[in-house]
Amino acid sequence: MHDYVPVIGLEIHVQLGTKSKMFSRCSADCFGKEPNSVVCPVSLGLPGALPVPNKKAIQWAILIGMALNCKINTVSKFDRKHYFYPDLPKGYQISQYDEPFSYDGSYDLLRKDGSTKKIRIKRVHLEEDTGKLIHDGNDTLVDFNRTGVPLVEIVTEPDFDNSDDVKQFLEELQVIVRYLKVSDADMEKGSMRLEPNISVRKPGQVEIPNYKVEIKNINSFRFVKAAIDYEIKRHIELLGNREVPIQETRGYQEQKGITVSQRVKETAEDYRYFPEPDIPPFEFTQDFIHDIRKSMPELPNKKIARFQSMGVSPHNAYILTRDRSVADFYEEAAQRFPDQSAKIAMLIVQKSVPINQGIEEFCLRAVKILLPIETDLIILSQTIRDVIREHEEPVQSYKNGKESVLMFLVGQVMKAMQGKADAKTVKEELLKELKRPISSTSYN
Amino acid sequence: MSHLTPDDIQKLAQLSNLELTSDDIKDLPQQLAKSLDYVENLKDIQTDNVPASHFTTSAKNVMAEDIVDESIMLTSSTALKNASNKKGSYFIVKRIL
Amino acid sequence: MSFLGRSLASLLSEGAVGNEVFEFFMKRIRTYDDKIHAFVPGGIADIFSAAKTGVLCGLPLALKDNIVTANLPTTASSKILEGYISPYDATVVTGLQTAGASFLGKTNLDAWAHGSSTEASDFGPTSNPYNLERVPGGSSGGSAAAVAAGLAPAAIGTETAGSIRLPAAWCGVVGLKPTYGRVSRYGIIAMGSSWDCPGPITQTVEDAALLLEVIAGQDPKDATSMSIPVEKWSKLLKTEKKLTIGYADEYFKDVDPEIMASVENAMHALEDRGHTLKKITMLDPKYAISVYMILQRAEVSSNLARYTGVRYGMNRTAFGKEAKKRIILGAFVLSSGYVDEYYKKAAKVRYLLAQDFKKAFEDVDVILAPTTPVTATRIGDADAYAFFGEMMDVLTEPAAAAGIPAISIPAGLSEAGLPIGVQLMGKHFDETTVLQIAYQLEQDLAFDRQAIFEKYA
Repeated sequence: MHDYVPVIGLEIHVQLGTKSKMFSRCSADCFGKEPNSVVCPVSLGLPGALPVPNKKAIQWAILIGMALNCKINTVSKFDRKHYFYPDLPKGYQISQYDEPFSYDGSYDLLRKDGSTKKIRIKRVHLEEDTGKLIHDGNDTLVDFNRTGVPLVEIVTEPDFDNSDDVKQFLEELQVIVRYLKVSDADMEKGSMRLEPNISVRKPGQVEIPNYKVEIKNINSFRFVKAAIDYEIKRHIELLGNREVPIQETRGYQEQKGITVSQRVKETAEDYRYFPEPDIPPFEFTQDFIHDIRKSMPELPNKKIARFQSMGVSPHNAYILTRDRSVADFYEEAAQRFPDQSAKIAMLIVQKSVPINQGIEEFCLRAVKILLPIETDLIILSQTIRDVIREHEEPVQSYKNGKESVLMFLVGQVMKAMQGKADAKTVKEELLKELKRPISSTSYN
Repeated sequence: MSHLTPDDIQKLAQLSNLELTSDDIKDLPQQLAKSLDYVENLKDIQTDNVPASHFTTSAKNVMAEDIVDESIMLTSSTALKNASNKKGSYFIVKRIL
Repeated sequence: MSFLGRSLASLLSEGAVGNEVFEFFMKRIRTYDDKIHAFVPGGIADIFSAAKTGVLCGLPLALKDNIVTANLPTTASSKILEGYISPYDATVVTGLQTAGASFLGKTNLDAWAHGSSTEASDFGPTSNPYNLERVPGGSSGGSAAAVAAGLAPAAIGTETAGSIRLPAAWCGVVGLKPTYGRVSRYGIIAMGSSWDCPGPITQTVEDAALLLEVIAGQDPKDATSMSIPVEKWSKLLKTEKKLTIGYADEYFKDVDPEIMASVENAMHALEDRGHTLKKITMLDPKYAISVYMILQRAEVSSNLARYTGVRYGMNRTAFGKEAKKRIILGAFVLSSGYVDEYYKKAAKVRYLLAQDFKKAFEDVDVILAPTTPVTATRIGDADAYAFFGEMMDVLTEPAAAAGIPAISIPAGLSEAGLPIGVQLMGKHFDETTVLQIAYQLEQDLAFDRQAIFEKYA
């Protein structure tokens, strides 16, 4: 059914890997810990507790905004967002409303077919995470360990129109966030969470549809495409039956591959935002912003372009840059083999030489496989003839059956070629020459 | 001039997670109307180009270093000490559907 | 040995022994508090406990029960928190403990500090020691009554808008609201986050200065607390400086003639000392009522959202009538469609109130005014008002809105024998001048704070 064009906007949450929580110096290391043991008065929303913001979390949130080409609000603040849910101890979440740290950014998605898609980033702001609920029979159990962990929320404009782009964007965002070393951005662990907002419209329609459905509970990259595609199909079917999909939140169920209604919002939630009075506002100095920008590493897309200018193929450059430590390893190796950047890249991408044994081991093994850019065969054959002529006895030895002499002769040729020959080629050509009947050896 | 109807009160109660008695719902509109009438006097004051005062402190850029303070952390038994409903190390709420 | 009527400063200079003083006041509490109900049920300390060192040498204080303590329950006088034991102490408590104070117990307040009479306490009202059928004022009514009746030599209260100064005025004691940000709010059960100030309620201005020295200072756990140097205020009380004292007709409107008479006395006394009295024009305090009503209710509705009974306390059905009223109105003024007309408008007028003081302090050093328009009302009178607290606090709300320091000191008694308070308001962080002028007035007005003890001999 190609009657409709999907309209997809993303809301992505990234859990920052700070040592302490967003609004208190309670430990933020809560994964796998005994319930309600990684808490403090602020985390639990105890009477009298007050929030004090985490500087590193703020710097990292701004860094993420910069990586997405956002404008930075040097005047900013936190706001209270009110709603009731058992995993939210204060009855409000400290978040950002009208003055987020970053806004109006963009990201250029370079597709495999070479086309590009610009994704507008609406905002990147900072807030605190909630606790966790576990259902146990008739009870719901609450664990507040995760409450207060810093969370960066990235919101895109509804610029996506297909699930492949969404998946690619998400994967590349994960790489960027890991490059910045601010989060392990792991969907299965919950340190990166996706909530797409989906609707469909007629082709050519410019206005955003008058409804949208939010999808929660997509817990892995594997399900991103399936969940979105399912939902798009569901909307198209409904609209085909002259029904408008209900504006609601739906949960993805991985086993069945479907989405089900979670909360129908009869009235839009009124969050009654107001500025957080317990946290003074921010007027960041130029120095503060400048220092954050200075700490930005070379981002993946820039690195890809640079690797390509070194001769690496687009495909290999992409693969090498998925993990910053691999990219860094590659660069070090490439430095050891000038003019061999493309080949080194290939060795790593094809896993011909492992990179987990350290740089020295890698280089040792690479040398054995690497082809020089040119093994000049004319010079090589001349050199081989010279070596054979100068080493009559060893040659005779070899011809009499002493195989081991061959490697000596190879070594002599390699030496004479001064590294401008590949060992394998030398051996082949040398054998060829040695097997030639003496009478046909000609000297110029 | 805004006056709250019992319906408004009910909606606000829902937003506020409050269960009001039928007496509350009957009485509150009138009680709150008096407050709302009084604050109309703010209309006397011209505020067109006036900034809103959201913070009484003149402090700015207050941020703490990312260092864990063990002394503020609570054990799970302390955390649960004042709870009337608990199960193991968890707090309990009525099942959320 | 009687320690009745002795200020902390005089007890210290005499080398009074901490636990003896503690036992003395504990006995007075056991004898008289069933009449006054200054302390919350279950809120009286069992045993004397104090650090071995510290300037306060074990002397005992009372704490308003919205200040969390690890060794005594904290209830905010609400059924919701009945029996709640905080796992941590408020910063002011830790500071006082380090300074060697001991604690007699937790004093009564209007539940959640919502009120100006202490009648809204879920555990019953406190009585005014001067007349048991009258209210002590609020919300720090328990602290003020305890000091007035000689059940504690001093106490700590909190003020959102008037909650220290008004009960101090109605009970004939000294009450200081420091500059917002001067004293840490960490561990104060939040009412109006951009208003709340912990402060001393004492027998003398010198004691207020002494306690301020102990509790003031930046706290890394309170991001709104400021790192302004803490002065040795108790040593700075005497000054030869001649200042300009402002007064405004706007603060005299609808004020009881007996109270005005005390204000005039105060003005004469200051003139006799060589200060210049200057008339200034200020924004009518009635606008501060509206500003306070809207903004405080908004913050209250937010700050009470955490009380759901899941992690502590009872669930939300246990909220009293006043709390429910304030939560609903607070939610309303923040709700979509109304937030601009109410919340934002009030925030803008709040800016103007602060600017008004700023402008005034270009011409004057402190401002003198009555603390309240009337003296202590009868228990039960508050019900006749739609918003009793805001009306009674009309003269204290402007200073609270601006965050400036202000003190109320006793100036006399009405014909009916009820205390009258006058107040001094100063520049941000200029507690020094406020305390200096208060100290002078205290001497000149010579209020007899000991006379009341005959009723509780």
